Amino acid sequence: MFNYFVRRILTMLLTLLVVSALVFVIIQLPEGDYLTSYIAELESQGEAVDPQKIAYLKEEFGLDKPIWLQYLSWIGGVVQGDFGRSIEFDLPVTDVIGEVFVFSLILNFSIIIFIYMVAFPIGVYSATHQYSWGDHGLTFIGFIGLATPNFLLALILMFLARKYFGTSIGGLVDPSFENKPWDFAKFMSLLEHLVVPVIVIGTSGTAGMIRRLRANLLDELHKQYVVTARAKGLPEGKLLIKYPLRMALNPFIADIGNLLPQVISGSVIVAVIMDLPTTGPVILDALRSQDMFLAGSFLLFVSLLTVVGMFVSDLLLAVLDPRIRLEGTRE
Amino acid sequence: MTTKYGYSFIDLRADYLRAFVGVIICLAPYVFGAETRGAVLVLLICAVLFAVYGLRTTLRHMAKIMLDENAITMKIFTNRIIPFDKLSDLSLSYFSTWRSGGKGWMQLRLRGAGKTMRIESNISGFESIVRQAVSAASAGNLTMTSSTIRNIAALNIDTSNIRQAA
Repeated sequence: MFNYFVRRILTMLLTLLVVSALVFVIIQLPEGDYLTSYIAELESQGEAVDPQKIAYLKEEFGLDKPIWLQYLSWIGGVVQGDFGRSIEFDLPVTDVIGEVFVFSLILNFSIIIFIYMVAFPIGVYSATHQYSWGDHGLTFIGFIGLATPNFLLALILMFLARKYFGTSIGGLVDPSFENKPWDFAKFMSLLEHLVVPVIVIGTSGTAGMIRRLRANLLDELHKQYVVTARAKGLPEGKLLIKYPLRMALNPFIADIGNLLPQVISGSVIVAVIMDLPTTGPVILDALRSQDMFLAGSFLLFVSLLTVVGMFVSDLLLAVLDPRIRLEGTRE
Repeated sequence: MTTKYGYSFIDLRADYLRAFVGVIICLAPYVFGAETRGAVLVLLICAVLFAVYGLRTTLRHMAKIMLDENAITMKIFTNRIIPFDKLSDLSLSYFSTWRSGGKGWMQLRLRGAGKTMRIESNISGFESIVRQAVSAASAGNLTMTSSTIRNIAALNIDTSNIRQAA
């Protein structure tokens, strides 16, 4: 087991190292760099470009150095918690991410909780009441959620929220609370504004989860141990919760590896449409403007969460399901 | 007749390489003068893990397995002997660091006479060791898990006499 952990950690480290290098190179693949775009923008506005300022910026951000030296300097800072300086915002990356990171965490955790809270009871009901009206109806609603484009649902719900509840359009708090310290009123405004994005982004995630939970639970419910438990007189509720449901939870746990990176980078399109102050639009802008330190830090963090998420979900699966171990069968 | 097995350098070179690469990657920031905080601390802990892994690989390199009709003996510094008639547990596990299966490795774990022995599949003659251990376990009427039985079958060893654990 020790060997497994060590090899797994080495795989994670090498993956992150390769991803960080790839991310850094890919961001720089388009012709030019941030300063080239900056000069073009100034020229298009008819403003004069100060060569001294450009030379200073090049030196300041190390853009005059070879790419491998820029990478080593950046990754060296990253391991010490210094993610570099955003060229576009002229601020440390951690300051740029600051509040949007908190909003992203709040929004995406709310979405994950929403998905689990909706998908779990519906999935269990659909499986235990297979082919009933309720099963067909809930499945139909789930498919509608999956099939409706998020941006369309976002526009409709924003309109309805504005018309019937007077909720301001866009953002995660009312404009009057922006840049103000947190208090109860701002918190309530956050909760009010969370409803639409959580429903919009959450509905697309619930359908898949419902289908998987339903399929897994049905699979378990038809196994012989369930028949045996029933024959021995175990109450239906206890039987369901204690055995098949526990086994059917595996896809929920296995999904952690995919969910963790989404907490940071998920739902970019909806965030842009709804003008949400989350990390998605910041990543998009950073990539478009070739702000390599900002974009690179985001993408590296997403990769870190992916590999750590996979590792954690494997460990949790082994704990949850006694049949699953970190060892297996050679096929 | 006693047959001797051991891990050659070629058998273990990948493990040595892993330990070396792991230690180098994890120590690099510290060596180049990074402050001991944040990820640097985590990397230092990982470096210790890789160093222990390297040490274990060295110990395996030194290990000699001796097999005869009556017992299996592992010698590193001292002899660790499990007589086959005292064998109380046999498990054969398969590990892979990739979810999709990929290239993994097997580990044979034997218990008996108050001792535990772990033998990894990169030792030369691994299949012969497993074959003889399984034969002894079957003779002793030991039960084995379904994954152990499937792994034994994957080595083309007859599993018809093995009792599966309930």
